[in-house]
Amino acid sequence: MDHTNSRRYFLKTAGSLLGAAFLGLWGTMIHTQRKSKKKELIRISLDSNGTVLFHEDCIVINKDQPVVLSSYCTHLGCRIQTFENGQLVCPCHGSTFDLEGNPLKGPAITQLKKLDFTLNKETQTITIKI
Amino acid sequence: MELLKKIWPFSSFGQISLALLLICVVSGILLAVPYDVNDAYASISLMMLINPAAILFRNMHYWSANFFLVFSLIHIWDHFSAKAGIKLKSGIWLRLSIGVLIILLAMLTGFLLKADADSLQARRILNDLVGGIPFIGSLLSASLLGISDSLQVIYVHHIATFTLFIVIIIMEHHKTIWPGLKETIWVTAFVLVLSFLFVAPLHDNLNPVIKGPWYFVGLQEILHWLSTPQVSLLIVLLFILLIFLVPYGSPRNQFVTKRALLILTIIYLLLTLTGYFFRGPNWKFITPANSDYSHYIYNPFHSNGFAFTDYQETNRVNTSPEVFGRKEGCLACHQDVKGLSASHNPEALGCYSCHGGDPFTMNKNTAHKNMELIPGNLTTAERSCGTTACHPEIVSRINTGLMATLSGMISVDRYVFDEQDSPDELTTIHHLGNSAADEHLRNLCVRCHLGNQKTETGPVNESSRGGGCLACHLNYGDKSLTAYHQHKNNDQDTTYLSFHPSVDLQVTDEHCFGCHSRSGRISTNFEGWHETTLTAEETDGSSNYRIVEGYRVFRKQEADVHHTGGMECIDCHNSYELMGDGTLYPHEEQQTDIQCSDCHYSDKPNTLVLCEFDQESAIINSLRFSRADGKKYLSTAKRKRPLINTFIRNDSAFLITKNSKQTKYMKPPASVCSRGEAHNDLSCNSCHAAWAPSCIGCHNAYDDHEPGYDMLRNDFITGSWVEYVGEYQAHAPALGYRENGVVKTVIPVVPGMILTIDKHSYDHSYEDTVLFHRLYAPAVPHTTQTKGRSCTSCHNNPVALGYGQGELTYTANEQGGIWTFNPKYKNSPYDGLPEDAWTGFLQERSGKVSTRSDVRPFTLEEQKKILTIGACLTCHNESSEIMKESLFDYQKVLDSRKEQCILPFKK
Ligand code: FES
Repeated sequence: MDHTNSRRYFLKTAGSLLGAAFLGLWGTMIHTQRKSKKKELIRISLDSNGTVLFHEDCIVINKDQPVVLSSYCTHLGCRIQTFENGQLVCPCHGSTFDLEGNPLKGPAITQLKKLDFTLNKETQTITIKI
Repeated sequence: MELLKKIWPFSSFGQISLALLLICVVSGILLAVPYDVNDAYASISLMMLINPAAILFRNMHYWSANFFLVFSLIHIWDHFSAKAGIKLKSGIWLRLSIGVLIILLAMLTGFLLKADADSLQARRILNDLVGGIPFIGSLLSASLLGISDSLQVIYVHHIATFTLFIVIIIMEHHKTIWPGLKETIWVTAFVLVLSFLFVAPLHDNLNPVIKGPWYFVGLQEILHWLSTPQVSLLIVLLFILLIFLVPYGSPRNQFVTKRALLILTIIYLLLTLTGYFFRGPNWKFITPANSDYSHYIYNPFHSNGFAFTDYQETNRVNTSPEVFGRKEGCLACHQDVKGLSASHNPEALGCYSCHGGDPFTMNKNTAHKNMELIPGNLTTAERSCGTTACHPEIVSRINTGLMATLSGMISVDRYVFDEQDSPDELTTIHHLGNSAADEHLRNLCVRCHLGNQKTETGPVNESSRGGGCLACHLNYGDKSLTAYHQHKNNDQDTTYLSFHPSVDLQVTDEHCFGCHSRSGRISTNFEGWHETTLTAEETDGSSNYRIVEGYRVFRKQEADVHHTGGMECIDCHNSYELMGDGTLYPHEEQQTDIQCSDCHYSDKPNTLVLCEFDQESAIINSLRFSRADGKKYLSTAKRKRPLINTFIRNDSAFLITKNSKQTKYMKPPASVCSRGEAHNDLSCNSCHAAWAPSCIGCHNAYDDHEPGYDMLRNDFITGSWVEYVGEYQAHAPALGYRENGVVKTVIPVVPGMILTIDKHSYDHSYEDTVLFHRLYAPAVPHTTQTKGRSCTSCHNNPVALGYGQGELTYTANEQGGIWTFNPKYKNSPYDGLPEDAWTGFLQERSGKVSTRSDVRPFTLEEQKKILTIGACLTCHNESSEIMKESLFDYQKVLDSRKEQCILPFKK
């Protein structure tokens, strides 16, 4: 085995290993950091009026059976904060959705994510964890 | 390129780029002082207001960066075309090619650091795009943008990572970072001039248009068409790859790559232009023909520029509230403005959201430039009252309402001028031309529409017409009114600036009065005033007369019971009737939702509970009244809209007046209303409308010399249609039939248009004969009385039957009974009928008879039926048993009649 070759081989292997370790560490760091992010609680009092409320991360259709949708447009994540002619409209590229989150007009083709929430009938509040 | 080089005083484009980078770095370092990464948007708005030097550095930073990008690209292209070609090691060249992406990223992070509405959305897009890269996407996006909402990571990349990379690659291929002195001086001068003239953009967080930085607007346009947006990353990669490939391969290959690059760039530029100049709110296509174009398309050349004066306001700015996440200059000067209701509190909304102008300056002139002194006019409502955060739902439909289109008025006028075959066509004021009818409308009618601009401040009064949202929602309180008058008398008095009129839900009858005291005059009828042809001098000055607008004389009549009971227009009419419901209606009766029977029901009421309300009604309900769950509200039968000011308690219906909050019991219809079957087809109004104003015998001619007015253009003109009015009268209205398919209803009608028109006087190409029409119009007079009309007021009344005024007599002898009619007015030379008649006595009339195609006078058969009862009533008292019985079984009563009962119309 040639001397230079073996050194190159060694460096390459060591480099790749280091690189992989670095990538792994990088991933762990981001992952841990993500996990440590505090969940935010949003509380809304139920008004049964079908009012559409826009929060930073979610859209609440406040009715007897409330619907909580993610405010992130399924096209590219823009914040949807407009309700026009009975439709939710994304300002960035013009996708529209109905109040159940179904896409009506592109570019978006998938439904807005429905978010979990708890409904307390007694206190008439909707609680959403973001 | 060669030509450009000849007129260019610089050694190379690279040198210019270097100079630009230098300015960019220096101004960036300085800008870091006023910029607060933890409160970015507010800190930029603050520097815009109080720190002129910071603005200058911000502008320099912005312009130098943008031109650095442009000149770097030109520099690269320049080397592509140079004969010598690019002689760099492939590693360096690779890094330089990637450098283009890094420059874009450095600039994009700068864009994100503004943290305005554009930036926040761009950040979310970038996060999604990068996050979508396979395998390492989520790592990359977290490392590029951070995990929390903070801008910290982006800031680090902007000032360190990307900037360093740029500096390194420059050093690598150019060996020095310093530009030549000549270039630096010229370029600095150029950037300085630009920065004085054009302010770097900052979104106001209200304008609905969201756009990325100009160099990514083309990408935004591409993304609009891409359902799988990750493809756009490939496009960017392809671009970088092409740049990298240019110096390699055979000359032919090089040529092809360069061409591909050029074509791609041209296409991208075209897309950029489309995105930049032709995309408005929600990325909808927009052209300069759109009236709001300049509001939606940011134009740096309309920038208010850099202003030197009036920057001594630091304290005021500091103590002013933050609205929409930023400071606005308006609030620093106009502090403590009183009078607006809680929902329009300037501490929350600022001034800019309604009045426009420039919120990011303390220079008075700049701030007030393009300001809307009177917001809410329909031409501008979309960007004041109708912005996303406020009432977009209403503003988007207001133009569908009849008060904005005037469809019925226009259609009927054209119909009577013989310019339209049906009076029921959908028309709109926006399509008025110059025909005889349209000119007639312009001269005499179309001042009353919501779109008529309010051009002067001041309260809504009898003379007000239009004004968009303010037509109904503007209210001056005592203080604002006094201040307004003080300012009117002395324009140095600025107290009015501290006392703003209120914009609220207190829509009173006065708001409706200006327009609705005309034509059908429902506002004056409702309050019990009848217009006369008297002049102010001819009255006795007593309270029996009222002078409106200084010259119209009204005489006292019976007011509507709803008025005497304390109700106002809005107690019956809901927001959808008044502001349109999104559907275009030809006539008011179609747009109207409320019916008497919604409140005065005989069987079961139509009800709704709060959770069944539509959103708008629910919001208005909560603003006007406190929440009341479980309460049963009445609703309209026609469109199932809640009557938010009603409720049912113990099987009785109640109404709360919207403005004065008085509770009223609402009576069910009297038993007489539903006695027997005989009067089933009568509308409530046909009995309960006590009187209606009418005008007969008017003549219309055009006078070339008459000083006139074009109400649409709001302009004085010479030459106008003139109306020579006949007589105004007030009496119980005539009756007729409205036939909708199988449903026939008796309704009140008034002589809407018995007139002659001299069309030839307007345009000599028309035939030289006078046009005559005898049209009655359906009416809802708003003169309701609790007690309905007597039997004889219809059955024995020539006016009710449509014959006009006169003597209607019944004579009976052995030969039989005969009705005779002796009219009060002469017969018209045009059709031989008495001047005020709708139909001839015991005659039929059809064809062009009314201002609706479904309304007609009684047929001969119907007249005979009515008059036969009328004959009975000449002997039998209307409250006699026999007459009551006739309501149940008319035929039986007829069959069992005595011999002396002589009926008419019997052979
Ligand atoms: S992000 Fe919503 S349409 Fe593109």
